[in-house]
Amino acid sequence: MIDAARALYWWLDARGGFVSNRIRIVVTYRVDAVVRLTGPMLQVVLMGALWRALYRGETTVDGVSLDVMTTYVSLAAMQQLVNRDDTIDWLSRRVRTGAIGTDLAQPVGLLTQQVCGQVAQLVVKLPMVVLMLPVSLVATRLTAPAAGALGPYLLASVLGWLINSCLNLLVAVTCFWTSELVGMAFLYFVISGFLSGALVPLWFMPGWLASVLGWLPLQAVIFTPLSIYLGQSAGAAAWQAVGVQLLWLAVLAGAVWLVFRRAVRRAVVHGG
Amino acid sequence: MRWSEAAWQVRAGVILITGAARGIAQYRADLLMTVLAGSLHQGIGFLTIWVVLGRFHQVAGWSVTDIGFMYGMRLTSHGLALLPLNQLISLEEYVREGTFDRFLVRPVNPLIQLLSTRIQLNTIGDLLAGLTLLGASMPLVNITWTAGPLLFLTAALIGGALLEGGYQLGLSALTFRTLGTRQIRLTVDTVFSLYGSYPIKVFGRAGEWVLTTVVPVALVAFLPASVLLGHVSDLHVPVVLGYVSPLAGVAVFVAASAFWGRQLRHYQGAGT
Amino acid sequence: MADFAMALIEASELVREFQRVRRKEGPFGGLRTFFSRDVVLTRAVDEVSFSIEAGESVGYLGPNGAGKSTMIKMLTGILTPTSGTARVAGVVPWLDRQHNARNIGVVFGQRSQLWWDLPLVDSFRMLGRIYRIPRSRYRDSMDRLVDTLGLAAFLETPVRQLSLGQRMRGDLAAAMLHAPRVLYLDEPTVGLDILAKERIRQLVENLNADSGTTVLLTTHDMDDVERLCQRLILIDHGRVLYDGPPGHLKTQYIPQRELVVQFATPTDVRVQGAEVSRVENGRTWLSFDPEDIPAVTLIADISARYEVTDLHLVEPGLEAVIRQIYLERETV
Repeated sequence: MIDAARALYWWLDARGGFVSNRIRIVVTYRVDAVVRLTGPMLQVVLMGALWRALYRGETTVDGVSLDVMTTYVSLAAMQQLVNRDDTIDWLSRRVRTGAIGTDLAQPVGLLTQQVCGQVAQLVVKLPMVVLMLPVSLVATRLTAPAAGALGPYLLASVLGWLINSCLNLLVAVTCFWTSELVGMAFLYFVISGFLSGALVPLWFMPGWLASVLGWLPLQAVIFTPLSIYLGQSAGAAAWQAVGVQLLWLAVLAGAVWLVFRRAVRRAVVHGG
Repeated sequence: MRWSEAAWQVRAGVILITGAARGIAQYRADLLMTVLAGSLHQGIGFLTIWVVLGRFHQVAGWSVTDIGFMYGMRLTSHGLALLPLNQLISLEEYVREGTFDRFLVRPVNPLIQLLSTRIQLNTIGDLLAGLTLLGASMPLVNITWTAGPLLFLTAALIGGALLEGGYQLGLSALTFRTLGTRQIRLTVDTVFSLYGSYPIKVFGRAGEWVLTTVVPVALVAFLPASVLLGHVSDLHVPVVLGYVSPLAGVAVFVAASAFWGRQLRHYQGAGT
Repeated sequence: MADFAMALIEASELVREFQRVRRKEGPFGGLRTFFSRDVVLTRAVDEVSFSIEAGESVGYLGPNGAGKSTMIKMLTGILTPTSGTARVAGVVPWLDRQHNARNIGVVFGQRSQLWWDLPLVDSFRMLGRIYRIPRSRYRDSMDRLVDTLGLAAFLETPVRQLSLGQRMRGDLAAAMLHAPRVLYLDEPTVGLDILAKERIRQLVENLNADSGTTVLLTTHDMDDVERLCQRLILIDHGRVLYDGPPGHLKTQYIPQRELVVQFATPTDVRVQGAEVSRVENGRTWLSFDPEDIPAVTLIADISARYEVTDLHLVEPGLEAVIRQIYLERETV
């Protein structure tokens, strides 16, 4: 029993080291990080103003009220802030400079290291989200979650973050096979940003587009948690959506694990 | 500056650019990807509002084709400005490394040298996206394209480019006094990108004021487009300002160039 | 129009100050430093004046942080002085940069001025066009420089693939391509192997002797100085300590020379005007001041009194002299 506890402790300690290391790196450039908030904040202000103008005095359109809409864009912006991490940049840089060799020699697996990095960024991003709240409140009149939605919303958010992390990892790991990742990474962020519903909720998209997106994991990242929060997806439908998320998570996590194994094998064979 | 002197400076810039072009011929593959990604990024920005307007039909009295036209104007101005000025972001690197020194010991204007030492062809992506949007919306909007409107459009595109370019030029001059202005410049860039493509009436009194004076994005596309489209009834400024807005660009650019030259005196170089 | 009675490089009471915000210690140090207006002022160059005639070859020496590079940067137009003035070939460098650029060539030891991704010869071609060098003159210059510096072997190689020695030779050629009247060299031989150093020194010497190019050189390498400099300007903490020929420097600071004598039998030497500074490996080192007693006289004295099997004279090296000077200043 004691042995198991001790083993767990050391296991956590090793990984905790990687997490705190990455946190330290981000915090060193803290001014940079804080000022980087201005982008999302400006976006939220813009979106709030735009949607107010679009609604032009009408309280609901298609059964969706203005407040629901503005809350949506605010929360989406905050979730985007948390989801956009530097895993892709980090890993491709490690490979490009050859530092990946050191990484591979660590007692902790390469995939685990990346996950630790993602956890580290989550820890740093959460205070930033808190900083954004005042701006969101003023610009968009955040509404409270629908009745009984908070629990499922939080669960769906966590699952959404996990799915997003898997997607980031899948894109990042391609750097083992291709040398020029910059253009592709940019493309990925741009497309996924749009398709996840971060900019436009799926219920305002043309029907064919919305159904196509229903088949992709992207909408599970942002749209699912938000539609739960706003009561668009309630009761049984909400749990169904969570179920879909879990399914995607299982599939993607498995894919990540497999591809990373391939990547590490390739790196070792090719000498980094 | 005499004309022959100015002509020489431009010729020197061309000489330097051809040298830079020869250097990057080796990195062709990634170029295509980044151009594509850039165009797509801009395209999706417009796609978002296009999808939304598909449902809402108009915002602040502007139809989707009106918005597309203004969006295209702003993007084209932005692309035009970026084409010669995209190397401004490298200034910080040169100043920090001390490699800016060599520009000062050669018989060519240092700004010209800065702008022509490297080529970043992916900026063409923005210009292409802008021209496409503009070309697509010009036949669809309520304007008869005789010589007058065409000339004014050209003037507005160039004026808008000079305005945004001049603003960024002025900001980059701060690099000579203090490093770490990167976030400020990025924020201004975000404001120009996000807010320049919408009718500024949606931003309320305060927003209108800020966007016409402090960060004058309204003068880039909104005011000239308003004039061309005839949306002048509820303009927040006298209509005549819309007609002379291209000149504002000229004034800003000239002032920024002079400012840049003066700030150069504060350059300290690296090391002792 | 240049005044012909004026020296080629004239510096007059040049001052360059640097401001630095004083770092705050303790809690929130970083933030407090960011908002503080408490500055520390350092004078990297403190009222320096000198005048260099066309054709001179001058060494500008000093310990690190003494203000050497700052002075070079002001003379080349990179920095604007806090006060004072200077003229190079009649032009004030920081006011009329592009005009000044035509008259000067600069080699920065640490940073290359060549185009990194292109073959070496492309850099030369670009510079030829930027400096508007007529075709025939460009041809002649290239031929001469390629020959003297031995560049032919790697003219087509991209600069980033060159060794340090090859790159430095390329930089020197690039600086001289437009036949400037003044050549500034900032640590030109640092990190080079002996052969490369020799080539560079050879070319600079030729340029000075044959073409009459004025050379201003900063370096830590005393062999550079011994070989190339007819005049030394020594600075420390921004001020000029010495300005004159290297020879005078030696006599001014370390007048002593040494006579190394090997005696037939170990002897306790006593002779007027000279002191035994040490005895090593059977040799006796006698220190004396040639002003007090000329070398010939000392040699005659010793030979008369003792049995000498071998002797030779040693002059203090320039390095020793300069080290002595800086050491003295440090203890002051």
